[in-house]
Amino acid sequence: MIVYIARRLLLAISVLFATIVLTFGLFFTGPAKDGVAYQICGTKCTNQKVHDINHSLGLDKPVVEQFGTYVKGLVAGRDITNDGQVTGHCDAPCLGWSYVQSQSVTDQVKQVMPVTFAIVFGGMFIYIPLGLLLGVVCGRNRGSPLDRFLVGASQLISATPYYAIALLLNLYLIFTWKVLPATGYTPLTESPGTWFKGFIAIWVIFGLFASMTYVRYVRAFMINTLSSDFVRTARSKGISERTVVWRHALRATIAPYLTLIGVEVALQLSGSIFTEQVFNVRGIGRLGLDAISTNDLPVIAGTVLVGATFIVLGNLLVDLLYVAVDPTVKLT
Amino acid sequence: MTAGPGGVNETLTEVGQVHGTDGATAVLGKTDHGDDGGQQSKSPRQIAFARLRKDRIAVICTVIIGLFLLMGIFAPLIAGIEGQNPTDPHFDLIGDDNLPTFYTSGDHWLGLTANSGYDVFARFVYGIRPSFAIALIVTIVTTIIGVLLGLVAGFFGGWIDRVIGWLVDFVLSLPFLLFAIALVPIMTTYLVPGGQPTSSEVQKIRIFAVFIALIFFGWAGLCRLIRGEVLALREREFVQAARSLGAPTKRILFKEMLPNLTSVILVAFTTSLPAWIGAEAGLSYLGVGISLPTADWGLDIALGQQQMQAFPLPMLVPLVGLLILVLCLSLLGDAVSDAFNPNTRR
Repeated sequence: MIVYIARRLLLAISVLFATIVLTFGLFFTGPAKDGVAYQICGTKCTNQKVHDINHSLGLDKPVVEQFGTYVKGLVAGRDITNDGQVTGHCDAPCLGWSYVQSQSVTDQVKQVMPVTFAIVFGGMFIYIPLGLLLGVVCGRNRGSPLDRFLVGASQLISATPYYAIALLLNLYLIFTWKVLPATGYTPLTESPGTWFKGFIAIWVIFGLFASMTYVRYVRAFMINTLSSDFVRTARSKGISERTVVWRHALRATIAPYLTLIGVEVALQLSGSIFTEQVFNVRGIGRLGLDAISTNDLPVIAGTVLVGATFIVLGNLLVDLLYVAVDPTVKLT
Repeated sequence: MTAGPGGVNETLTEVGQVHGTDGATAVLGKTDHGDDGGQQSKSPRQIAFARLRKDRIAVICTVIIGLFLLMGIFAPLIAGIEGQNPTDPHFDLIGDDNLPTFYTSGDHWLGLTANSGYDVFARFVYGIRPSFAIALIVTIVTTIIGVLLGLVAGFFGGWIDRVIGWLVDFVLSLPFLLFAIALVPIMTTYLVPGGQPTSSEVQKIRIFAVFIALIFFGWAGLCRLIRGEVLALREREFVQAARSLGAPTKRILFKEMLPNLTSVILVAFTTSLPAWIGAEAGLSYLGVGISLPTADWGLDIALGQQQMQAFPLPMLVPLVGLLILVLCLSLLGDAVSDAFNPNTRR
């Protein structure tokens, strides 16, 4: 058990470290190292000017030293210097410094994360119960017209790109038929009501789409569970079918279902960009996308690192939870 | 899904079916029984294709995909009937509000896009080209990389397996969309030092970035799948026999194992093609894929989104096209996977 956890931790740490090396290597060395200078002097850049800017910002130091500064910033934060003068402070975990906006990347990520969190975790309130409910109903009434309709619908919907469906629903449900209120972001602290109203349509559309992908999984879990020994025993004791399904079988279904969702949530946190783009709210995906037009490399590198951290931590958490929940899992 | 009780038996009867009229099987099945009639055997692949031909959804989807492909191939001819070019702007037909002054007309069957006034129909006909071409090449390349690395990892085991396994974990831990977005400026700085690319350079860089992003992420899943299959195959008798006869590793890998993996690879191929079409269009929709003035469904959806409240057709046309194409390819992929699965109940 301890060996397994240690190995799993080691894998997570090594993957995360490799991601840091990769993002640093891609964004801050090679031809990309002049990116910051070009961003500052634009079309007026001469080689001398680029050299001066790099020198004053300390970007001409040896790569290893810069990498050390970068990692130190991630762990303990660092000061941003210009010509030896401290011009800003970047708190840990310092993901980098956007020289154009004179702001730490961490602060920018912190500003947009509430949007992404709201999308992902708000959507959960729709798709977790809905996926479970529909899946159980399908699994219980296997082969019925309702089951066949839902399985077919779930197959069709999960076969199509999410953003295409979202765009269609956005056009018809929100703009043409006005069934759902228009989307937009207002900070929760400013006005909870407006915040809620701006997210309702996103949650419903994202939740419906996500629940459709889970229906088939829950259905399969349910069918498996309903044919297992303990359910047969429960039935033979004379317990009502409703209790068997909604108490006994449901409990056995929830554990694998939640593990599945755990992995997905990690991916959604780094990939809610289509939702953000279609419904016009600014989360971490849009932050990265907007940074392209200004060629703000440190911001883009920061979003990649944050996204990778979510995925690594999510996978780690799910694997460890899985061991805790399922005693039969092989610990090798 | 679990096998139905009749599944395997049914496959066996399919294997043993008498098919005197089927030319290809007759040649393969020619045995001591003589040429005319008799019990003839069919390879799993022949069974699968026979199943596919009987599958109504598979046939319909194949026809629709075929029509889309023909549309892409003969795009200049079809757009020529309308008399429009996908990359010609029509600023004279755009009003002061940046919207077209009319919806549809005899010259522009499905109207014009906002701002520059590109012809929607011509762009729809041409727009399938980049998506399909990029997805096809990416699928082929990722399949080759994934299969090779999976074979090597599963067969040799040991530290090679651990290194490849770690790489798979690493790639799957990177956020695909954020990374794909990040590749665009990175490619730009690498290919155009100084960072003021011209419009044709931007186009090339964008296409290149899409390729790199999709290929970088695409091989890992298949590699893991193939590795698992190889681990099982490695212990099978025929592989053991080949090994004990002193067959070289290359022969075992490519002559003994690879043919046994064809159905897995084919299924992976048919299911990943629509996924990559969706991914390419998605990146273009986000504005990090194909760039104007090239016609591309994803890009055109983004263009159309700006004016969808006033006039939704320019968004709906490429959107519905993309939906139908991806849906048909996915359903065909499902059908192929069902047809190759011996446990599927018919």
